[in-house]
Amino acid sequence: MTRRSLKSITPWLLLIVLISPGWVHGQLFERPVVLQGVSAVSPGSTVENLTITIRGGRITEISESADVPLMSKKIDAKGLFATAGLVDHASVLTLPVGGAGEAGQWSWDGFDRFSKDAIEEVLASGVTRVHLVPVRDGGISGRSCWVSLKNSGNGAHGELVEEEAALCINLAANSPVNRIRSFDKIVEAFRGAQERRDSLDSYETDLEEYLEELKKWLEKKASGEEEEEGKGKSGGEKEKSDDSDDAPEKPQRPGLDANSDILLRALNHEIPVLITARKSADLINACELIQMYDLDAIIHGADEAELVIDHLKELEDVSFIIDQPARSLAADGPGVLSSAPRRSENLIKVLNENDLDWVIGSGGSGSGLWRMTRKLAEGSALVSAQSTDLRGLKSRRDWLRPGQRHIVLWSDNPATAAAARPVKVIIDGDVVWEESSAARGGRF
Amino acid sequence: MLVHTTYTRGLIPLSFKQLLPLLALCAIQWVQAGVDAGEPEALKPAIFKPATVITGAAVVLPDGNIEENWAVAVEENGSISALLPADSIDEENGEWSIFRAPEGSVLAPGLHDLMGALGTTGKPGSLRSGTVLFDTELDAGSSFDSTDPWLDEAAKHGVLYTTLVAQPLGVVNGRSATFLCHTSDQATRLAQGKMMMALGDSVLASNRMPTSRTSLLSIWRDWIASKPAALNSPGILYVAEGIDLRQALSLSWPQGSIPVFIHSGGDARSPLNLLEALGKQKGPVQMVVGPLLEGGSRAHLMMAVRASQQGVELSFAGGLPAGPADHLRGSAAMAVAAGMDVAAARRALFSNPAKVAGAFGIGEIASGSRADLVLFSGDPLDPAAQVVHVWRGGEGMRVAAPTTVEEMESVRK
Repeated sequence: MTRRSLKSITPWLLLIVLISPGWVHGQLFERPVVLQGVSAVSPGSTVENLTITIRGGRITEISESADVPLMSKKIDAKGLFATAGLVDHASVLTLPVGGAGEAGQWSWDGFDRFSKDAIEEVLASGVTRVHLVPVRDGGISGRSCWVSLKNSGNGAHGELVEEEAALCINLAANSPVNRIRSFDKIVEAFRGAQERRDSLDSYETDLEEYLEELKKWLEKKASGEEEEEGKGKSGGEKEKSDDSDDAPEKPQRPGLDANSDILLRALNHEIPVLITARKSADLINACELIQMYDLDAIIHGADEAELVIDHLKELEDVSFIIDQPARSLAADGPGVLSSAPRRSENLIKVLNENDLDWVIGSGGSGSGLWRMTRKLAEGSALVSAQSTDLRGLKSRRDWLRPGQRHIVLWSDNPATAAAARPVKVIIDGDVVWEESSAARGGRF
Repeated sequence: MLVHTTYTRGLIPLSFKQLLPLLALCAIQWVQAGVDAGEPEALKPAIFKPATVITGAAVVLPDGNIEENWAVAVEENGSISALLPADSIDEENGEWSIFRAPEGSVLAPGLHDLMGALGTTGKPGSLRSGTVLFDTELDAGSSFDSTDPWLDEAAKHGVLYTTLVAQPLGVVNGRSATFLCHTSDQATRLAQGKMMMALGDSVLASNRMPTSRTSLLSIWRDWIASKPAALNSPGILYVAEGIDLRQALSLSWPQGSIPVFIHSGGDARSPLNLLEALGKQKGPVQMVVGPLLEGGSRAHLMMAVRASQQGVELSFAGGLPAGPADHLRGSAAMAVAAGMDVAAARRALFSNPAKVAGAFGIGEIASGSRADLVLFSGDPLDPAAQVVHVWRGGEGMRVAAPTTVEEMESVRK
């Protein structure tokens, strides 16, 4: 290349650098990560010997004959199976459980990003994103959020993906008295929020009226003053004081109430409401609450859904997050009068038959999510575990596709092999967990 | 290929000399069977009449691997008479019942709840020990109640055996006892059991010796030096923590008396290297770990996986009826997810617990074993697999509801 041609290119290069510095930085300084020889798993099919290219933290290409970029970091993934990172739709990872809650509480505040062992245990099970659900004693628990378990520096894990995923309400009560109390408390809170909305609305109207009246009053006062000036200044002070008495009264703005404002966002359909309800009585209460306030609702638990399926079918656009709490054999045995929910063995089948949408959440830390998902969903386990939408599987599916930032490499095909286990977990191009380093697990 | 075939029914007692030609003929046939294993002969009803033949399912072999194309012949007396190549079964013969298992199903021995409280009607504390430091007379079987309703409930989940032990409050705490999980007025005891010993904090007490770990170790050394009859055969040793296991391994165990170690709370400090060395010297070491629970100790889980990788034969401790019904399979699934070999995990579920309990003729699908079998809808390590059918002593019990007409017709003459 001659000096002259270099000179002619230089302005163009400078222009590119100025227009898109991020792209230039990505090309020059961020090494692409390339997974070679990997098999990709999607429902019903597996494609072998693929090359997956990751640039800037996201998959840019999945193909059988991709050119490996120069300077790329190559990962030999022969014999491994790739899926998108698993998603736990109801996790309490590192969160405190129990105690009193309120709408103002936020699960991100309770998330311990430095709880390395607990988070790595979850990563080791292939889970890369969690929906952190605050779990409090009956009533309003707080707000949930979505967290990516990526490395966030200084030994911490976790990055906030979605600040306000849902307003969480716990209707799962242990006794009828608690059930009534917590339901009344919730209704009272929503009623308070509605009253606040009404008073805010009337304040706006009153304020407009006040401004109108004030304007008229000022005009009237100005014209009166002009007349007075014409008549002379005698007795002016007395009339002036009378005018101040006639001045319109400014309406009082309702005081600040952060909790009610959050409930108002739920009432205004700005955020969905996640209602935990397991027993039939709780589910009926949930239905009543949803219909009473026309909420965008997601029901978490729903163990006894089969018993009240007719009520649930009447709801519009409701979806479910289901789990399978570990239960003692003795809790369900012959002659046992148990207060635990009578869980339907074929809950998913019942929901499917009634066209009700669902996903699976661990309800715990998330380390057992994949086993729970296989147990509950069997054939559709991968579909459920990769969906990132709380509103059920129909609405969105997150496969291994260009743009995906969360990748799990498995030892075997997770769709078919019971013994498949994660070998590497990659988030934003970084290997955040790998089996070889996990040999140090626990206190090794 | 292994051929687990027994053609011995109908033989009359003969002297050894008379048997020699027959033995030679059998040897030739055996060699030929090995050569022609790909094309086995059809089962000959004239010399072999099982009550039922279970076919169509893959089978969990004693080594923990799953192999397809086997059929299991069950005799009327409730034992397994043979494990045969599936294509050697003449299904139209009409001489025996055929149980055709659903496609993809896996036939396994019964699961085994070790050291739980299954069969004690929920009163595990009823069997007290520790009042005598060396109690060789105590029998854990005395706490068994065969009318316990949880026995049948457990069987529906594939748990067909329960091994009871006394609480580890003394150095020797009597013998373990193993029973069939069957709620009835008569208990089916499957093993006399092993001596249950303990070395750890649970033995210490403030009102009697030993009051300290040092004195406990001293008592242990003196006892072993006295060459007690209780150590003539391997027992079971409760060593909950890593330090207990380390101290147990430092004792001079007589030849052939290395016990099964119950290491239920062990963490990363467990002396696995010593166990590995012991295994290389004296054969595979058996260890009971767990139960492993979701959200439980990661350190214990990784210890168990590492022990297995170093050649220790594991079993998972039970916890029924207080624990979840499928917790044994759950423990195995967790261990596999953490890196344990799948065959080792299946051995930990099926064949190893029988060895731990000292029970012969259970825990393996092999000729002569009890026909205590569980048909899973898939690999027992898969949480999605469900119990479809259970046999206890050859007696079948359907567990899962049939979903297709073909399944309903699976049992036919």
